[in-house]
Amino acid sequence: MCDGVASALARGRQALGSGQARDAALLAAAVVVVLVLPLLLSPFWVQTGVFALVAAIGAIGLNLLMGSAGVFWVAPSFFFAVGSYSYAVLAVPPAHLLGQDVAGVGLPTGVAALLGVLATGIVGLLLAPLASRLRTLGLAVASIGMIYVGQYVLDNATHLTGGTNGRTIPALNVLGYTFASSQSLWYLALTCLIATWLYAQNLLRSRPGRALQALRDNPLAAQAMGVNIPLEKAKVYIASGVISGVCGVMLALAFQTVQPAYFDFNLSVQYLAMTILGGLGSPTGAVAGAMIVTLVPSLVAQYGGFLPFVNTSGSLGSSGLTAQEVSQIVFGIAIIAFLRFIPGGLASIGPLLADRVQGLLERRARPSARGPAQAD
Amino acid sequence: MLAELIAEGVTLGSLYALIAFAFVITFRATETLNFALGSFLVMGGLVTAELSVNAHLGFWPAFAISCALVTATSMLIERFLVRPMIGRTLFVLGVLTIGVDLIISTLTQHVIGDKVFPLGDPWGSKVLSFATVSLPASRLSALIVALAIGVGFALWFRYTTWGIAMRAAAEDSATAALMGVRLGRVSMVAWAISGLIAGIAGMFLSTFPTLGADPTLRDVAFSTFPAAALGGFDSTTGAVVGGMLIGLVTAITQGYESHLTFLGASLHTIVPYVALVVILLINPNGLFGTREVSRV
Repeated sequence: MCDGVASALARGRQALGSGQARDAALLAAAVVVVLVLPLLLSPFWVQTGVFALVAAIGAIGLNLLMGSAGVFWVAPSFFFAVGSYSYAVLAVPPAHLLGQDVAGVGLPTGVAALLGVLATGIVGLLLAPLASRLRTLGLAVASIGMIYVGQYVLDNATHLTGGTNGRTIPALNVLGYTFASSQSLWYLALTCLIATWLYAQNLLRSRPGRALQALRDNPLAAQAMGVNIPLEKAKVYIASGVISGVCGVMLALAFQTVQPAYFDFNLSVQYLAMTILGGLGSPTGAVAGAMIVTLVPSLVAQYGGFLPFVNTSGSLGSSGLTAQEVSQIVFGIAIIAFLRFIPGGLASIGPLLADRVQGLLERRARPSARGPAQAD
Repeated sequence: MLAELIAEGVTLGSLYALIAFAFVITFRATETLNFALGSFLVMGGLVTAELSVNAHLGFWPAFAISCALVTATSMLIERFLVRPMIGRTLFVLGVLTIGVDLIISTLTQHVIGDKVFPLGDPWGSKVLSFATVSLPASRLSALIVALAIGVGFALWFRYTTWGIAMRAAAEDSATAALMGVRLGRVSMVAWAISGLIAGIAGMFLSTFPTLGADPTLRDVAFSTFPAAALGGFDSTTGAVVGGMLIGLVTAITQGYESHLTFLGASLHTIVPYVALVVILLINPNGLFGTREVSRV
């Protein structure tokens, strides 16, 4: 019987073919599910789903920098802020609100979105020389600084950013169609996510991707092999910047307003958690990590009532932890546990499980095959 | 005005120097940039306040228990989270402590909420005046304590067996281990010292002119990163000098901010980072760091 299972498994593998074909099949199945979901879910979950899809885009962007290029970059929120605010400034016409001038360009929203993405890419490019000059920890500290400098600018450049009140975001309008409903944003985010995933996947499997991995694993050896380090680093910063810009613009569209407080260190830590949980260097893993980190707080808020220490009632008198706090603690523990026990993240669990199962089946199959030989 | 700001900057700088020293000592022992140190500071202030005022223990016992608790937390993190991961990359060890920080910060933030936790400390809001300079008594005590700790550790590193073992382990851990230095104990002591310093500095940073235990101490810890980075993360001298510098620059910027209103209200929060980027661009090894030797 075990032989039967093992051979069925082998046949299944043959049918699925290479890893690439299997990924494609999985992707197709996932796409069908996420296409139908917004029609079935309640508005709350559609909204949550939009944020999960947008987060997945951002996580892929961060993963390119951290996982594939090995950059200790802890300020993805800085990139997102650039994307969000660029869109806000470019899409809104100049106005006089609450006694203060608010700058704006008033471009068509589609153009503003593209330029917002481009602006984030340019910021990425500007950071590249800084990054290739600093060592690992210098860069980590510089990126922490980037978060604080970003907060400072967002708080104080009130003419551009609206200060602590932030700015309102107009809905995206492309060729007469307005992305106003959560459903439409879902499909928009999904399209962007698929495009981003395909791009990241292709990048990593192509020559520049290999160069990046070589550069991450041993910069000096990579250089000796002819990898142009500053050039490759600049490329990945632009790529990550552009992807983060897409995430930033989409975040702004989903929130319909942007405020400085959102883009703080905690947001960056969330994306760090997505990357670690998903697995460094794997775009698919980044998507999985983003889903978990975005969905867990909402799941705890909706269904966590049975946990004794959770306060889901929202009443101020209760001393229980909020769903957000519970999830943060869970993510903290998860970061530690994953780094220690599953350094490859969720992306490594699938193949690992398959190997384990196969190994188990083979071990079971072997004694029966060897039976007669042992009797001799 | 300037004299007073400099005095304030020196007292603040002495605390920043201590915090930067706490970063460097764990980095030298375990190659871990401890992102959780900020949450240790908050914890130090919060536990002191909770025991001193809310549990009526009195300030000094509360402070002692708080220091013991923060030190123990730091040691447990070293023993059970960091030590099994020694040898992994700087990135992995750094992100590990970000996970720790997330847990502790969430808990302290939850307890503090929007309440104020006064420490019930003996200094209160007393201000001492010398000629034209007036300083909060708490800040002056902080300066004295910081100096005592600094000199104490300098002598300890120089002359005691433990101090020599720690320096040897930081210099060349494999050789030190062969000479009989127990690396596990050395790194645990390093984390204990780091935790103790965080407990003390956290308490002082929560006294007047701060209102009480304060979640923004996490930002203060991050702003001393540049101080540690100035010394290339492995130089205690660099950390102390960098900490003093950043304290001075922060205090002076904060003092003159009202004259520079066009630059906004929180310029002092970013000055350390701007200074750092400029210095690191000139010399990536920092001002005091050892040059990195690379092998393929």
